[in-house]
Amino acid sequence: MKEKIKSLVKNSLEQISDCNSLKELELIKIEILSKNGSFANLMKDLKNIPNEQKPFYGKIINEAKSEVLNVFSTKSSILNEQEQNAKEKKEALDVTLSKKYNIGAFNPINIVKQDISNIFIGMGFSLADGPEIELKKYNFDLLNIPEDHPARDFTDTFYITENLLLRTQTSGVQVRVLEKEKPPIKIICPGKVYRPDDDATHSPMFHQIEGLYIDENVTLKDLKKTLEEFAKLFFDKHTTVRFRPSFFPFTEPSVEVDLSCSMCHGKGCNLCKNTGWLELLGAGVVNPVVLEKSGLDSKKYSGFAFGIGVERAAMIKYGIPDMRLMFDNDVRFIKQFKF
Amino acid sequence: MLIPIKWLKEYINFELDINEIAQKLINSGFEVEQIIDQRKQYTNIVTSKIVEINDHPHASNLKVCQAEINNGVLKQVITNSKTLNVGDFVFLALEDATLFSGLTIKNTEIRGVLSQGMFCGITDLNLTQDDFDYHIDDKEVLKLNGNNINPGVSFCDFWELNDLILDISITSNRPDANSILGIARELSCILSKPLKKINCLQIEKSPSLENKLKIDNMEHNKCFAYFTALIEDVKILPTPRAIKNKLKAVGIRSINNFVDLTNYILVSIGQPMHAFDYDKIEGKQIIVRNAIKNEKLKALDGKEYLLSEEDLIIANKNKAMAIAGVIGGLDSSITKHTKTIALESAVFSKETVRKTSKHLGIRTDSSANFEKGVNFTTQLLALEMFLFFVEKYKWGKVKRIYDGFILNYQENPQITFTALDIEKVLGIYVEQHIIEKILKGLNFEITLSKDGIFQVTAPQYRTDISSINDVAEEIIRIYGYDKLESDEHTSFTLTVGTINTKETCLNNIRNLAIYNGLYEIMTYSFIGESDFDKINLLKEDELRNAITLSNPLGLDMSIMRTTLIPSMLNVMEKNFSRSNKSATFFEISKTYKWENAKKLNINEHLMLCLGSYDNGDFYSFKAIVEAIFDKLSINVRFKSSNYNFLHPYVTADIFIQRENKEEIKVGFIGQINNKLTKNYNISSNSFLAEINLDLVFEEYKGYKGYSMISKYQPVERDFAIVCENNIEAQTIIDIISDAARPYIKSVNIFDVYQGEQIEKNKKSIALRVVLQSDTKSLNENDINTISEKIIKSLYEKIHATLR
Repeated sequence: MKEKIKSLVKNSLEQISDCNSLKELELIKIEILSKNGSFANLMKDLKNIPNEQKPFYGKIINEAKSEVLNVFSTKSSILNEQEQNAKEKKEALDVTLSKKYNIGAFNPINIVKQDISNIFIGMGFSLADGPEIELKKYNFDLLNIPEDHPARDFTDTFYITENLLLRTQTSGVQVRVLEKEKPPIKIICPGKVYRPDDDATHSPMFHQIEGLYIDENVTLKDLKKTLEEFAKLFFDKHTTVRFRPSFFPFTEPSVEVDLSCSMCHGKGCNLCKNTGWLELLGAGVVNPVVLEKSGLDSKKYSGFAFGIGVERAAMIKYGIPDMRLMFDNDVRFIKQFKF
Repeated sequence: MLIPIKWLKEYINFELDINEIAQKLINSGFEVEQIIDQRKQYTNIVTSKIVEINDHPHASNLKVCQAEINNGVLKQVITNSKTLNVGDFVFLALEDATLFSGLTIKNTEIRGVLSQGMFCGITDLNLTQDDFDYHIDDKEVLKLNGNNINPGVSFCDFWELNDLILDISITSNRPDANSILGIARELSCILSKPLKKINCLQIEKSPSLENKLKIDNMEHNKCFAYFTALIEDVKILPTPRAIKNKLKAVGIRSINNFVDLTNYILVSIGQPMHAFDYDKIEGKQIIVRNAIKNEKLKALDGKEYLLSEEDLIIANKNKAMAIAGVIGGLDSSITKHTKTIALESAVFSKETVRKTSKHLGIRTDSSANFEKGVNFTTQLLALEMFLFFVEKYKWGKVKRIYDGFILNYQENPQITFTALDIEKVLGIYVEQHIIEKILKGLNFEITLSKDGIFQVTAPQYRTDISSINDVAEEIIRIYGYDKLESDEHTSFTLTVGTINTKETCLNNIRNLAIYNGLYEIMTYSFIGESDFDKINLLKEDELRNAITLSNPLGLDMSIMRTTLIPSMLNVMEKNFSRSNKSATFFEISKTYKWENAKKLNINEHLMLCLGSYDNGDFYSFKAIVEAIFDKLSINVRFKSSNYNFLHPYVTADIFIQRENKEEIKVGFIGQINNKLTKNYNISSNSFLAEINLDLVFEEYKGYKGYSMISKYQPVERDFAIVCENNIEAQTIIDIISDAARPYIKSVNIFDVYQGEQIEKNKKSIALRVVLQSDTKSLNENDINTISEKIIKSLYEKIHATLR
């Protein structure tokens, strides 16, 4: 009996040691350790042994089985790890390969429109809206633009009827808001405007952002402060603002607003044509005549207004050389504006 | 407006260099667009003396000359001229000189001999016979006459074409600054320097010219002032070089002394003038009147113009002599035979000149000035200046000036204010004495009371000043916008910047589109009628009822779009043809429709348009649309539909489903049809959708409130059913959802099969239903009951059976 046990143990350990796969190991397990396996058979053989020796041999068999089990489980975990490793190795990927997930992009005009709007919303301005097909009275008359002003010509304005036109500026929204609301009024109105021009720096349709602030004691100085803050946020904190006198019938005093060149910071470069300044917008103190025409007391209230050309701002900010590119809608162009 | 510095200095003295002057003008509201240096137009052309002439060793028709420039420095020049002699003075164009023709001179070898330049003829220098008082052969080298010629003097200096010129753009409110005098007046204030005295001939003015000439103004609303003067025994001569050069600097060609002088006065003080040949004035009568319909006039430009009753003309007793303020007639113009001249110095209405100039298509310096506005201070001054030069150069006998009339003249208003009023506009306090000094400098009439009240009136020529704000602008533009700095903050009223839900909604849509790989496009709001044909719309389609522009840039941009689809297709076609392999686009823009054309009421609707080519199938395109509504928490349903430009079997209308089950159509989605594939050069695997966002905004409620997550297990049950082919998935989903209420969480169709295993005209659908209760665990019994309800309902409503 002893011999039998010894040879079973030896045989078993050899088998386990020679085994190379979990599958094989499992077969060995069944052969040796299962209910009908070799050890179980040994136990059955105990019945042929005298009773007083049974406990002794039973113990030996159990010890032998447990020794084999130990070796078995060690081997099992080694094999298991080996096989896992092999499996993972098979799963190896070239991580430099890619499956493209396509992200779209905004039109730069809308990015800039959004950026500018957000800056002014942060300063307490609210968004307002107005019609693109506008009455003559809002686009011209109430803005103090004289009857014979060339801006009213067929060459400068798209007409639908004598009194209906495509707005040439967002300033008409000023009047519409003034008619409805009481000061303080602090709005911006981004939108499409139209003029019959078509070349590298003019498009028959373009975008403006109109700003209007009406309250007691609003001055030209406040306008400058507001635009300085805007310029710093839109370009960078080193940007400065220069006012130049200009003329618009609906503001008085009127100014052209130049920003220090975002490329060269005033040293002079191609972008600013060596002037160090970029012309970006027109602005001014709302002409008291416009306030009175809208039924506001110009003795009590004053305000400022400005109009920013969105395409122009986009061209400056992103270095786009031709305005028409933004209306060409080539994927390869739009793709560049994902941020 | 071109302002030559030397000319400017005839009106005001200053030492500042041109860049400083330009900066000062810019800061006070006169945009200097560029500074032109006349010297740069004629570089490396100098006077030289010919000191030696030899035959060319290898060419019998050429000469080799030694020409002296500067202190005995010699240049060797080869010429084919036969007329040159030793000792002649000529202009020599040296290396790198550019001639008027554009030719640039280079050192070169001619038949083996070095030539270091070229002798110039008059055309090389943009001169004409008129520039000389002796005969010039324009094919030959120009020889200079005179005793005091030094070699080596540049052509610019020798000919005095060596000025610097400011190119200034003048805003429309400042026609008074549209002249040398106007800019000088501004500088006088900016630099605090007085203007020089203007050279004028003081002569007696008579209230009429009696039997000599009679002036009749028939149009008091179009001609506001008319002055004239007669000059007898005139001599028509070439113009002195000093005047000619000035006109050249501002781009005006010389004609003769009298014509040039009218132009000279126009540039100097902004008053357009005209000179008539007095002997051609029939009836000795000048009539300012409207033209008769189809009246003709042959103008100075040699063309005959057909006039209308709106055009103002200057006529004699019998016929038109000039188009008022625009151009003179050929018949009455100055010729070398002219003996007596009648000068015109007048004011015509801006609108009249503008309309006439536009409809006849003539634009002259005179019409340009009248359009901007000529003030009432320059008519007599112009005549007096003119006559000064006539006397000075002895070009004729000045007899008398007709002291004409001025109509419609309005005094400038008196404006009353204090320094505090100015502060209210500007936001900074400007001291009283500074205000006073600035306004005095600008020639305002001023009284300042002891208690600080200003009463001011702008000078006659400043018609743009009528309010305190106008005065404030004058003060700050001279005082300096850089002074608008202050650490004191104004007390702003607190306002909170808001964006409305519409804007929130739009941002959601746009962001979602981008993260799903869509590109945002921007197209024009106008399209053409042909775009409707191209998308195959029927003649009576409502979309064709568009708003039309009366002055479009072209037929393809002549109507306001009623749909974004044509623009989208154009963008898709363009990208497809440029080999951009696949793409999905979106645009958010308005469409325009008449609501009531009589009342001029218009509907503008914000639309979302999507378009895709070769970028997935119908379902992946539809998924984007569904995702958008999902993002906005709005329920939508799709129902088969039909459009002329879309695939008859792959098209649906999109409905928003309200909580009360009411359905609102908000748009459509579909594949393009065969006809469109032909009309547009794009892949047939293209999809379009258009959604009316204004309707979507109405349904957008934002955050809908928190709902508890059920803590009980969800149960899945799969069904395979067989039903008629034409039953839509949506119908099946609706039936199941209804039957399994309130336990239904989702119904998902994961397989549709048609084929041999199934009866003809039927299809097999495999779907998974997820059931869950908020209040208990569903047991086997519950689930069976619900399943039976589903099966029963499917059978009753669409005769579907379990497979």
